Amino acid sequence: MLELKNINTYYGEFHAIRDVSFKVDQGDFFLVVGPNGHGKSTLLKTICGLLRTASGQIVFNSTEITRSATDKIVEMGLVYVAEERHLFPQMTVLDNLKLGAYNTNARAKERETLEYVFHLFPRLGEFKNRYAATLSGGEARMLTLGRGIMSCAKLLAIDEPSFGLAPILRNEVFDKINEINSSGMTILLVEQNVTQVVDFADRICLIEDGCIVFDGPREEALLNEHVKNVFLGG
Amino acid sequence: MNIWVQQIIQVIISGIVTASAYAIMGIGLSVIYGISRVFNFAYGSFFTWGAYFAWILFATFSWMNYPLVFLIVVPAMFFLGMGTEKVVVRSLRWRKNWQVTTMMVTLGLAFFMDNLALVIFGGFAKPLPPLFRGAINPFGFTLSVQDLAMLIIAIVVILVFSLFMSKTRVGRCMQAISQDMTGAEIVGIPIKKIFSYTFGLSTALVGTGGILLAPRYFITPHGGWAPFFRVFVIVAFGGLGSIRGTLYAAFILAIFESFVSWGLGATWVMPFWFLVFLGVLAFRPSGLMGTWG
Repeated sequence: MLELKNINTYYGEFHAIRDVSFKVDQGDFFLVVGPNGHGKSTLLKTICGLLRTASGQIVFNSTEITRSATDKIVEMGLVYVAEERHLFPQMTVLDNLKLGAYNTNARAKERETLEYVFHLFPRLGEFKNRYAATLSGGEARMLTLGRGIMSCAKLLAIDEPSFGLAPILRNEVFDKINEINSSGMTILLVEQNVTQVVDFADRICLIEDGCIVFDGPREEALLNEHVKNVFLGG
Repeated sequence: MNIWVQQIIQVIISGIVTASAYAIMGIGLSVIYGISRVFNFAYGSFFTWGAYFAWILFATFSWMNYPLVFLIVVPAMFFLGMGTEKVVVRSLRWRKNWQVTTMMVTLGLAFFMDNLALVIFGGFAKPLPPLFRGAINPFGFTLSVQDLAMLIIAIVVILVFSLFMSKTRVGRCMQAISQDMTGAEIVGIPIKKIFSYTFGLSTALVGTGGILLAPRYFITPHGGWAPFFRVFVIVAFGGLGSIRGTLYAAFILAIFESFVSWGLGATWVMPFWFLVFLGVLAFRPSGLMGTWG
């Protein structure tokens, strides 16, 4: 569904992503792990067109999107859910969700998708007339996910959803992401808090210093000494 | 009624009328910064050119009238603004120090536009016919129909503008961009296109201001700088990027200006604006509603 071929990205002068290649299959829960500041967020931003690759190729649903603008990429169903949230603070929850359905495909299904989002996150339905700025950290995180789904996403690229949340809320968020995945959505998740999410993943990829040092199915990752040392063992 | 009270009320009325034109122009300058993050130094020149376009129409067609002038000039200004964004700003955006670069480039554009006007129209001031003639005298005050019309047009423009921002898709996208540009990009809003629209909208607003104020003053090639400077102080005072702040600031400062002009004389008007500007920078650089930076 999504394929990266030898991607290189610079963040200013800094060579943040080095020759990264991987493949996400339809329906997968693909987990990218790695220490902070090792290029995971840069990777997602590159895929979603917010940053430009210096070289390499990105293919989504057999269309090349390497140099496409973000709005075109979103329209194709590849949607980024940012760590920094980037909600519209002076708009209501409902307006935030509706703006998620900006692209033509999503607009046509706005009502159905909205129903699904409210079913998935009943709290968002309760708070639909509240301003996004007044939401708690956990609620805001749910709203970013809901807004991503509203874009008629086929693949959600989620950046560090546990960031700034208490452990109990993290679990709630991860459970929701798993639920979204179970309904058929492909998930590309970047995370540091691996222990709470590892059970959901189909495939795990470890990034260090912008390079992929491991990429394989979960079972294999759990047996890999390096992966275990870096994350699972603590 | 006491003659002083009557005069003071008259001064306030006059301030409110000017405020309405400043408010329209202030909103235009504010949105262009709040949404497309560009400070447009050619804003005053677009003001002048809006008035010149109106003058051309009146000078060419003897049967020309104001409704038709607005109908032709306002859309023309919109497209001129969109074109300016595409040609002048777009290629510079997001390069190193682009916000400073675009300021300099729009300043250059201002000189170009002003001097083009000087070459084409000459240095002599051009008049526009009055919007309306005559005056009314409600409760013993004098209010020219022209001023009343200006006030009404400005209120209508501001209402249409706020409806546009809150009800239309493009307006909501503009709001989204001003609240979180990356967020807008993430949800798939084509931000480049919206930037062009914003430039167009802003230019159309200042063009409207130009046509509204031209019948009161004359049109000269460099005549846009004085209103531009005032509007600049207004948006700085109200908080650049904040529409509501701009509206409050337009009314507060225009009424003050009116008092300064009445009490101290018209020569003190520009020093007054300058003092307000210094005061804003010294005591509250983010403005009343503060969204600078």
